[in-house]
Amino acid sequence: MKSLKIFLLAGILVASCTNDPVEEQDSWPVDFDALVALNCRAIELRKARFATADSLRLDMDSIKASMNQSDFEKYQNDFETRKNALLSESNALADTIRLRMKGVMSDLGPDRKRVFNDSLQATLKREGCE
Amino acid sequence: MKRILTLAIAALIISGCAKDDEPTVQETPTKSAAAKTYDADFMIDYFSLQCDIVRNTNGFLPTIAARGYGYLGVTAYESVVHGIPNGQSLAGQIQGMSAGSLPLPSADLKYDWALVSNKAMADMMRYMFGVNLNPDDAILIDNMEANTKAQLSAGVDADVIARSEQFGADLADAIYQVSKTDGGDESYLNPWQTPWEVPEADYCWIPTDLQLQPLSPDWMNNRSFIANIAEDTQIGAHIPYSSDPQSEFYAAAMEVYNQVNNNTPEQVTITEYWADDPFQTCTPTGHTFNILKQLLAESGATLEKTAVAFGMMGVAENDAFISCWKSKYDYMLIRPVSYIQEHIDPDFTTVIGTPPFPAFISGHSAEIGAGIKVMIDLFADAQGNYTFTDISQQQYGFTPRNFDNFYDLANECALSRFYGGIHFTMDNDKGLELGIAVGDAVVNELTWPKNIQ
Repeated sequence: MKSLKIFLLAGILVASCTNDPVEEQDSWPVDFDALVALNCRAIELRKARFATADSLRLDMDSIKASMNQSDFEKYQNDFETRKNALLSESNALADTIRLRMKGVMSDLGPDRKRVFNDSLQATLKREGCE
Repeated sequence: MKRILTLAIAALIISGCAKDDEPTVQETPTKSAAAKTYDADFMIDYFSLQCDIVRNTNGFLPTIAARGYGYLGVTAYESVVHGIPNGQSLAGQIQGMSAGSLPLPSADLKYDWALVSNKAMADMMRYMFGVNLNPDDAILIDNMEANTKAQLSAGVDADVIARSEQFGADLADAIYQVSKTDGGDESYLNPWQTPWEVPEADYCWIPTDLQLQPLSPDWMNNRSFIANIAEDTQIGAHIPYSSDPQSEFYAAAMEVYNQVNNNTPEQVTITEYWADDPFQTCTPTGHTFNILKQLLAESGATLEKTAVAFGMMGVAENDAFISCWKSKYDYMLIRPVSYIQEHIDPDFTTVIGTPPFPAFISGHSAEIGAGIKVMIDLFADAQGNYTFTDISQQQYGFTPRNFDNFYDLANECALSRFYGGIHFTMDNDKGLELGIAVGDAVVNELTWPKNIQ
């Protein structure tokens, strides 16, 4: 009987330790859902920036070969317009995220920061933002 | 009479032993509060603004940006040093800034070091971005200066405010005058330093995109903050160039080729994380300053430690780039992408774009090597152990990265350039070596305040 109790107690302890390490969102000093949404958009914009940069870098030879000077200049101008639009939204969003993260991080110790970030990343992943 | 003679002789001996260029140790004016009694948020905010404006301003490419951060860091330090017990000015310690060349506060008058700093940093930013400063960004600086002043002035006497601001303005002007003779003044107007004839040889750098001239080919001739740093920290030659498939050089290129074609998703993430970002980077120096800002904010550093940290990092980054650029243009080595397309696979592409300057040594590796030595001195033990999460890129859509050691951080930054196909392994290894040597010199050869908070 005694060994059964010890076994059960050990089982409860193990079960309590293997719970999802992601903390309840309510425990963080920030609107977690809003932060997830902001980060998700920032990830989308980051991907768009890299894709836009790659579109010029990887296709440069074919673009130049297929266009005369005037068309190429127009292409470059269009590229700049797309780039600037992306940058404008990215910069505004970056300021918002930076300020919110600053508020959160100043309240947490190193270990809690990691737990917070892990929680945020896990949520982003669950929502398809990677 | 004998005593007077003895005293006179002793005085002569002492004065004869003093160096001409003795650094300035200014006693804190006793009426002023110590720097460690001030909050540092505003100073960190200035470096955030610096990052934003570097990103927006024409001509602020990695070399030029490092110099801009360098002088802003020196200004941050000098604006506060007289509020640090036994703080020693960089005047008399760094090149171009002789002892007594900077204005000094009056020992019997009261200053507010935060207001001094607010004025000095705003002015220095205007000086550094110069005629390329966008009107919108000029307004941002004006607003930051005005808002910070409004916050800091509460309860401060009008004469102290005026005196502090005047001292800050005089200080920024004096440091700007120093900067004008270092070889990099207004370099944003011609970052390619044209006309410059690109040498031609099999081993030589060739353009990797539309940019036909390499960046800042004469940067090595700029005056560094630490004397002879570029010469003293050079790390020797790269593997001898060869197109022979049996050669060590070919093997180094094959190593890049195989890495890029077999990158894991995590390695691609690391590449992009440290890239820093197409269109949106405030350059590698900016990324390192962003990490430093985070470390200072999270550790609750006062204005005292924050100013010292920015001063140290400013010197380190400026000098790391000068020394790194000496290696780049002494060797003019071809980039992996150009070599691989010529000798291994014409269809090879890198993970990210290759920047327009020679390969050997890696700029990222050099600057982060210098940067972590400063961070270790300020935050870690001698082995570099320190637990933190780098959230500096989260604002740009990157996942934060966890580190327990600053050397691990530097190695990851260096490796990112290999994963990306931007650099040979030797560029990174030697770059780190050079950067760490620069960082060691900054920490050990200059006298910085100790036991700071």
